[in-house]
Amino acid sequence: MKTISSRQAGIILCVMLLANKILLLPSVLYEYAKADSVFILVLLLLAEIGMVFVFFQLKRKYPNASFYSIIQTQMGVVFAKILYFFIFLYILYKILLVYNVCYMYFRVQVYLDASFYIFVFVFLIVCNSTVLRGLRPLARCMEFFFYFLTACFIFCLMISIANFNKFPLFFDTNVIKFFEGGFKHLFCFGDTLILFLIMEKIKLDKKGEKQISKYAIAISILIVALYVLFYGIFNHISFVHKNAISDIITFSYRFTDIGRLDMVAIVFVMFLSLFQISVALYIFCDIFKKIFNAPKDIYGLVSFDLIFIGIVITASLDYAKTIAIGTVIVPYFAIFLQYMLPIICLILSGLRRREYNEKNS
Amino acid sequence: MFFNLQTRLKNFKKQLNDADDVSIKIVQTKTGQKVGMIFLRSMIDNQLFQTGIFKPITEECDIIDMDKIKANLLNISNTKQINGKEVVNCVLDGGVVICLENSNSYLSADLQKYTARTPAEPPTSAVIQGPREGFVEDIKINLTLLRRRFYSKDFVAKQLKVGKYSNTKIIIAYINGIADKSVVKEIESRLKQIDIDGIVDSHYIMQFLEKRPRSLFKQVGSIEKPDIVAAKMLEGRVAIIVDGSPIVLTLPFVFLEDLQSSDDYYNSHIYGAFIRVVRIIAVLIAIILPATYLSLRIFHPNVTPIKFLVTITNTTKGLPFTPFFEMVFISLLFQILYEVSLRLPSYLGLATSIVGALILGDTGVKAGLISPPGVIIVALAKIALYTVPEQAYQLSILQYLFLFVGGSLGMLGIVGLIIYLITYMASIDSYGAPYLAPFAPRVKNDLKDAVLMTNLRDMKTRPQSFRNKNFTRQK
Repeated sequence: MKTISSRQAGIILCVMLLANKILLLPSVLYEYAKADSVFILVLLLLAEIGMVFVFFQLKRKYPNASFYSIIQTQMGVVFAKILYFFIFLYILYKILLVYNVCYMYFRVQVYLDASFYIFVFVFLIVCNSTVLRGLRPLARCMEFFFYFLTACFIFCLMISIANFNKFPLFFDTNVIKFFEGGFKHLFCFGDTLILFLIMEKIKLDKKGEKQISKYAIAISILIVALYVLFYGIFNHISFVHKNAISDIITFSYRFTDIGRLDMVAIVFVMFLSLFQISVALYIFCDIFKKIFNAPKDIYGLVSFDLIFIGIVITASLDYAKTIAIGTVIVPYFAIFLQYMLPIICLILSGLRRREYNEKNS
Repeated sequence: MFFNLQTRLKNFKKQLNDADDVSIKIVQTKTGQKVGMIFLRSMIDNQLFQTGIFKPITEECDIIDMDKIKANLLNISNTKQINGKEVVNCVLDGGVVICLENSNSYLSADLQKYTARTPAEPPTSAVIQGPREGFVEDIKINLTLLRRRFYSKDFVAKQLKVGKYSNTKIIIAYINGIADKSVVKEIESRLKQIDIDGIVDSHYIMQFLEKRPRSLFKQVGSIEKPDIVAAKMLEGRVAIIVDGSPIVLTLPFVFLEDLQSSDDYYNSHIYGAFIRVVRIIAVLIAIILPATYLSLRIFHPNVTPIKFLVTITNTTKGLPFTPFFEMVFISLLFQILYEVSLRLPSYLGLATSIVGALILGDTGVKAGLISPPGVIIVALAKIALYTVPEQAYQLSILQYLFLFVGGSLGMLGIVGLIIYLITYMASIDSYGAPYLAPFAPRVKNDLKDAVLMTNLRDMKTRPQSFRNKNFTRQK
């Protein structure tokens, strides 16, 4: 099996952690918790980092096993298939979410009069072709652009410092709203699940664990910085600005002579969205293979394309509908699939080992 | 029982299809013994034949057996006894085969000689500083040019013959103790598997060595200068010299190699690093600039800086073509001029440039057929292609591909195509070397000689992007 290095796994995690957090989420969260949304973010990012450590534990126990085979061993074949079916739906939802949020963003920012089919065409062609090449080339491609993307992100943050208005006012929300905001937007988090779903393809050692943790912590800090800057720049009108990473630079009046600096953010989001969908699509195909015993990725890809076209074009599942589904139904699945399932697997494996040890002794 | 000398030689000539340049000579020694000779007139050194073979046999030899003849051919360095089955091949190789009456053994003397170019500076690898000699079409000279750089017993040169009719000589050269044996074996077995009628140039071999022969991207190094090949061999690569070609192939190959030049190592490493950055920027300009300009004009005028947008709008007013066709038209115009200037004799080159630049370009702008920004952008992109001459053709195709995508899908299409290409390149493996190494996967050690190159003294190890027997370069 072609594996990926821990550095590449760390980069995939970074890219996935950025998914759905840097465009719409800051403004949506503001409606619930105002500037305290930063704390929601910090809490949920800490949970993500916590899940990274759960991943390390599980990987240490089962160095070469897949998450599917672990669930199968712990809970049985039928249960594993059912759980994976839910994960399958969840990943599909995540892809649609990324697609819809980015589609809306590009539409507003750079493609004012372009046809809708341009987006469907580009996303499907690029993601299908990268998935067909396999995880390793995709991971290498992300590794190739990692420094460029990091530089773009840091550039956006640095430039926006010039617009920083005043420090956001914290502790200005009631607790219920705070937790409601967090819970309802769980669908934008839990991206560490990706690591579990590709765990058999990651070559991990002690040094690798450190490396992945470092990447996860570093990217979390950058995301928190983005939120603080965003709320510091827009304060009470934060809920109006739906494209955080772009808007913090668009209004950078000090640099307008150079042109629209948010082009950096636009290119950054283009790369990021294509990577995020490609990784998620790869996992979608992998899950498809496991559930339906499909011999090749192409079956998963064709099914995805049909579902995607069906949902996006026929059922016209747009950005607003996707988020509505996300806030109402998805959090319950998310909390179980993202956090509870890996922890249950870890506990069960510990119990099984204890039983085994007791029997042997 | 032995056949008559004349009959035997005629038999060999018959095997060579009675070719006109096959000569048969039967001479007598001082003692009157008959000695037969067969050779190709067009392939041997006639002067050496007279002084080194004809004279000693007819005037000095009193014979008579093969060993005595061999002892008399002092001027001929390469002589060997062969059997009847090898005669035809030796003659074809430019040897003079000598035979005696009443003996079934033969003596072959290598007298091969044909006109060959003297080593000169290759036009595509000119350097400001550093060695100026380049490979020629003669495999012997090419091997000598390499040998001269390694006075070591570890320099290995293995010869093979490929091609049913051409029987082209191919030499696999490497440094024993540095090059990985499995890579050498893989190359050797691939070469042995080639079943083709003839090899006329190393580019024929290149296509058989590529693991993805249908790919746009070059997967085998092609070098015209011995100093570069020697440096690559010291890194653990294997060189393949093909008779009749001034291009030596090297393997394993990574994409970065063509962005490097021998000049980088002969100057200060700071300048080397700077010029590499310039080269990368040039490659990006060559591929992406026309497409980006087009996508900004068609899809994203709202993100274009306002002053730039005003200039573009003013200069493109009233053009009969759409932006896409305008760019394709200018690009094709340049491509045609390039092809013409390449094929035309040099004295006509200047005339072509004048026609191209002044008449077509300037008049085109004045007539309102093409816009000045379009001309500038295409010209800049086309010139930038040649900062990496080895990849110019591939980059040129990519340029059109990006132009098409940029014009039809905008920036998202360009980014998508970049991701597609990089993922594709990341999936290529060249004899154990990831094509995009040392960037993807990152090989920290090899980054020292990637873009921001360090001093030669700091490059203490050989590249780790591909298999090597011995990583230590200096202690």
